[in-house]
Amino acid sequence: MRAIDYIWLIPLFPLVAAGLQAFLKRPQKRVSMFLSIAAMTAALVVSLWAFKDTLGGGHHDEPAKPNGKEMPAGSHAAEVRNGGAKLKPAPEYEELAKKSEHVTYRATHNFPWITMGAHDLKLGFVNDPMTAIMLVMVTFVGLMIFIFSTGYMGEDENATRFFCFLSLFAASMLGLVVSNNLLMLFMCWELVGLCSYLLIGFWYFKPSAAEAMKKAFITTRIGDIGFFIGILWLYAKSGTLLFYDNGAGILEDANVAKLAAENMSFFGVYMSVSSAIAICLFIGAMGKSAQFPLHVWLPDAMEGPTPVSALIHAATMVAAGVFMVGRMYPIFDASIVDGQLVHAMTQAHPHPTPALTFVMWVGAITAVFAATIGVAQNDVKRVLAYSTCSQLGFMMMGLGAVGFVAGMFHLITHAFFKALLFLGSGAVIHGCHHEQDMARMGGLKKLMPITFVVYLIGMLALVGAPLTSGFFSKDEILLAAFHTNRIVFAMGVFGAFLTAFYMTRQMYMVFAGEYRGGDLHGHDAHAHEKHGAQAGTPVPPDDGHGEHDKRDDHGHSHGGMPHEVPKHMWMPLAALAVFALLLGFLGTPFIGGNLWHHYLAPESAAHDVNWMVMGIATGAGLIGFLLSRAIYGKRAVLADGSDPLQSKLGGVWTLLNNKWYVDEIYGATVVRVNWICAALFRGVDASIDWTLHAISWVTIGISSIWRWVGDEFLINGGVDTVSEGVRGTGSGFSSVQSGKVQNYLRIVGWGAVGLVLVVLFLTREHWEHWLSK
Amino acid sequence: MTFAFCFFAVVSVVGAVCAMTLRNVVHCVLAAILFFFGIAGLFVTLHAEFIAAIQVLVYVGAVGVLLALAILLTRHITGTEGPKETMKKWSRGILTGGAVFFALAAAIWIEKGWLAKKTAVSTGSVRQLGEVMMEKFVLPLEVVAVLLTAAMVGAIVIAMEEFVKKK
Amino acid sequence: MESREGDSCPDKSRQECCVYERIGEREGELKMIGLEHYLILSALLFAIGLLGVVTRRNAVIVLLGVEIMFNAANLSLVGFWRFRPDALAMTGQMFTLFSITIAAAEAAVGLALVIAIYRHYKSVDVEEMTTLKG
Repeated sequence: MRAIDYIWLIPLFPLVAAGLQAFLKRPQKRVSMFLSIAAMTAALVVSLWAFKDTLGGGHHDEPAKPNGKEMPAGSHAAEVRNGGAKLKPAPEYEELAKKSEHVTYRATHNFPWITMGAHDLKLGFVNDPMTAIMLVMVTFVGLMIFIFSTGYMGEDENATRFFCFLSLFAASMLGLVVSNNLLMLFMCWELVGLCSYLLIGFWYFKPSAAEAMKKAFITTRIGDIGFFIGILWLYAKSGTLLFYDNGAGILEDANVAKLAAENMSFFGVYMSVSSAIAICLFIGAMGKSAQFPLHVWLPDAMEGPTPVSALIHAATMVAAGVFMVGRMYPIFDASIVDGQLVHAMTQAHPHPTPALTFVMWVGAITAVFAATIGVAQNDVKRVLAYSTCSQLGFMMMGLGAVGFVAGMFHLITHAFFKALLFLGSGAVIHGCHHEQDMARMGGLKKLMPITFVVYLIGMLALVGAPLTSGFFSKDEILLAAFHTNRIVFAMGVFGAFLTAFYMTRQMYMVFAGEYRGGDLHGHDAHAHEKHGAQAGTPVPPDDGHGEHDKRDDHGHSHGGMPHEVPKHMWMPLAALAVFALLLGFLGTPFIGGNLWHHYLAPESAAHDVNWMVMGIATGAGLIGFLLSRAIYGKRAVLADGSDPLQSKLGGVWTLLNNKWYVDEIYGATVVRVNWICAALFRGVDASIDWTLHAISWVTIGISSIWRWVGDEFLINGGVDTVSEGVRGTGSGFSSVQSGKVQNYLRIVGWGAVGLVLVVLFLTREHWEHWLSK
Repeated sequence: MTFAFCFFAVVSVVGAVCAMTLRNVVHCVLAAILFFFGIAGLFVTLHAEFIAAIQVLVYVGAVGVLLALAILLTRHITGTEGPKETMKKWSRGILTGGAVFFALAAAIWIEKGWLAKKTAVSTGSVRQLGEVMMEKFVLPLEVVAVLLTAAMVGAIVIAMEEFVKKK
Repeated sequence: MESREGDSCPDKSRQECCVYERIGEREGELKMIGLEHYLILSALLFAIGLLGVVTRRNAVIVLLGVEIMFNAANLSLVGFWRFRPDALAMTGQMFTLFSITIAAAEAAVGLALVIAIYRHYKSVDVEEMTTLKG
């Protein structure tokens, strides 16, 4: 029994849950929560099974990639399952597969969806390492967030609807991950966009939330234009949209070679069709993953509840763009060298294709750009949002620098620690009674110790403190960048520096010092010196909670003082923290070779360990930390409530605080154009209206005239006249019948006279000659 | 011959005119009887003596009396004066009568050449009349007999009904 | 039965003897009364009868006028018999006889009707009898 045969259950469980939840009534919150969590757990179980399947490697559904491994002719297509046909694997190949470690597992299950004459539109599911690891990540992180939400959204009166949307989102995201068809991926892509829209504007009665939900949807839609052009182009060139179809899929060598061989020019820039298509597809990823310049929606998306921010805008949905680039990587990195198809990622000294170059630069710019803004934000979630944006830039940078494994690795690790950070911030917000301004927090280390610990773990992973998961993944990316483009590498290092800086700033503002909001409770809060980057021992998740927590439970206000969150809220945090710490060891080169590398893409070339890069990256992080500590360590917020850095940077601070005025620029240009067009068209519409009114007025006028002339005068009048005439004639004639016989006889007499005269006239020849006689 | 014709013609015309124009209806009836006599005389000048005799018998004897009786039975209480005809009516009537006379006279005058062209005249005796009636015209005779019977019955029925009801 | 036989009489049989007078033999005589005179007289009498029928208001007088018209017609019939001999000798007289008979019957019925009407309307004024007015 193979998991691929049941992989369709994974998106189905949450979808069914969402369907059932749609019919629940508002008070049935617990039922709704149960359905979501049950569905997600079931999906997790099946995902683990799928993951297990992929661990074996071995059985292969497609011909080997042209990286030197020769396949015995005619023995490819082992164990194909396409609508039922099963072939036995050729014995030589099985032998080869067992021996080789360079073959990735890939199982597909394709089925025809729409039949158009002789041509079928097929959809399908795929189970390969990338899918499997994403499945596990999404289901696990999702499950943790769902559990967290039961506490966080438990009091909200619309919780039923919330979990329904969450389930729907989970179904869409999982569907996106398992799809073997670009069209199905796109459909799920749009569905996650819809769920994002619904969940950002969950509190739709808030005007800011309503604005944010529209902005998110429209901005991602703009990106989707490019995506769709890419899909259409790809379909036109390939004739199919299946990824893996026994050699005929669009990601398989036959098709990719065809695309890479054809060249086209785009406004003077020469590139292969595969790169051009890839760039179009990437535009969609730019929208979905909030790359510059389509990043503007992500910070505003923080209007949604914190679990939403954690799940959608940190771990999964925004990662869908990165995932899509990863999935379509064969098209991104394909080029024709000496008449042979070459995938850049398999080369030891990779040369990025135009598409990958584009991706890399966009990613790098985004990473630095977002990080600079994150430095000057005061809302705890905004900082994390910009951090997400920046980290997505890192991922794109990694992918673009021919670091496929690095980028995907960072995607997975980032999901865990960013979700952890967001949930932690949710705990903070919840504990501070829905206060989100960092200037009014502080001293929460003592007040919410567990939250502090897990948040610290997340922060360390994010900045790349050694031996955390983020350390290894970020290092891989920088390594790939180093080997590809030094400028990009420098930008990445700068981004790492900024990341450390603003995260340290956030830690100091939120957890250190004294509580600045509401009234104090007499707790002593002193600046807690954080672990230095050198210490290697990770802090285990804290089991002992302060006296606070044992008594305090959710909803029990303590006179305005922040309090720790209840167990069912910090347990998911703890679980995520474990992964944030330990996941890194999957991808480290020190342990058993790079496990991650072997698992995900054994055919891609691995870079050797470069201590210099590692040192530079770590050093940048350390410098960031120290600088931030120097500025914010003593007092995170000045007496007048302003930021200590503000006075030092002055105008630059204002620029950063206002997000480089990107929103305002957009408002003045794009949105303005839109408004002008709308006003123009409204004018056209008004003139059309006016024309219609004029026409109708003229029509009414004509019809009245016609009614008066034609109907009244001619027809009525005519008919009346005729009828009057007939009546008159009739009455005239009836007067003949007077009832008086003598009148009748008189008339007869006259008639007789007339007759005689007529006869005489007619026979005049007869008697004329008698007249003379 | 000429004198006889002219005399009887004048009598007939005068009788007819008086019958049609006199106010007193009894006088009208008497004038009518004069007229009938005039016609009978004209028949005599035409050598149709039997017809003349029948004319006197039937018209003067029966029809005239019948008319007189009818007049007497339908008299107004106030007198023999009936309602007066208007001058308009008279003029119309004269006009119609005049038109008819002139039309017929024109036709006759036009044909007078042919009419005047006589070859012979016929005479006959009553014996001949009887023989013809019984041989050639027996069918019309019988039909007329039936007709007379029907007329008689009808007249009695019409005139009698009221009489019976009154009883 | 008087017969003046002339030389031109073709047939001397008594049964079918008709005397045919030759016309135009005597000269200097006054113009003879011919058919046209009788016809014109008949037309005149007919017109007088018609005049009365369409003019008089008394129903009986109207019927009287009808009788006058009948007589005028009979006169012309007899005239034609006299001056236009027919193979069938007495046709004219037969015709006239029947005409008289029927006229008499008609007068009887008509007057009976007038009596009946008089009983109903209490009047014989034809101007009042307009129930058939349309």
